Amino acid sequence: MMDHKKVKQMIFLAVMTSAAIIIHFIESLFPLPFALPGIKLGLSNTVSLIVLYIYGPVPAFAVLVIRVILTAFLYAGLSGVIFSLAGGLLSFSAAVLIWRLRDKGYGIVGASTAGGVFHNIGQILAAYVVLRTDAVFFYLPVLILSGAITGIVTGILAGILVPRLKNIYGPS
Amino acid sequence: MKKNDVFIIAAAVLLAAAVWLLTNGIRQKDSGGEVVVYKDGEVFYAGPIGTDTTITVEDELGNINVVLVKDGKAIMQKANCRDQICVNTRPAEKDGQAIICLPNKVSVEVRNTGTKDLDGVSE
Repeated sequence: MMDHKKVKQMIFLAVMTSAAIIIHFIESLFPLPFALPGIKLGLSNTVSLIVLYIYGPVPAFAVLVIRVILTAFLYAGLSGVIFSLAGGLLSFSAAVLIWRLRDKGYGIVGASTAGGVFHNIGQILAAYVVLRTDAVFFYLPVLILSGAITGIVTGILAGILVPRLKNIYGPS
Repeated sequence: MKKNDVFIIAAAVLLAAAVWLLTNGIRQKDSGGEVVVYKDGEVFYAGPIGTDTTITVEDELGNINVVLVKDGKAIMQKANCRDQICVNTRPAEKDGQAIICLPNKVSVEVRNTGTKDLDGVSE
């Protein structure tokens, strides 16, 4: 029956969403020493990336948005939401762009790197909107680099996880 | 990792370098500028960095930040924000350096009065 597949997908997306919330929470316990407060490495975006490579952009987008809304209610507060949304949406858009090129030699590490870089660019833009000062852009170079490094590491991780998760939870 | 991923990583590094050059080009190394304190995106205080003073930024929500300007340096002496990142930020003395307290929406910037056209505030 088709219900079986739907239930499997729903469970997978629910587990992924809760994983994203927990990762986001753990991340919030360790503020980056060199960055603006509120700025995060964006590790929870790896979860959206994994869903993207298993079920495509629409479920991945749903996981991202639900994660942002739920963390807002749980602990992040309004300013946290602005950062999560700006970083998450920009990061997701960049990752989807690379994901569309997956048959042209671009892999999950590339998508993750682009996502990491744009996650931090998005957060700097959000900080600029909140603070209205050019000074935030001085943080940009180090955040682009750290976003790339985080992206490479989480991309390798996602590359290991995706085939395994696809076997168990993927659309069959 | 697929082969074209290397291009994306290289592009990220180049972008970081380009932005670094750009922001450093704007920033002047010499000191002797003025201290500008922003609250909610608006100028709360502006004065020369050479003049020792204490600026208290307080709002109706009870958020307090105390900025100390002393010996040509500006520090965030006290803040009631939860993360205290602003208090632990290194002193701002050179042009372009800043101390930012995001929870309370306060930022302290040092800028050269002579380069206002480059370091101007938006709007």
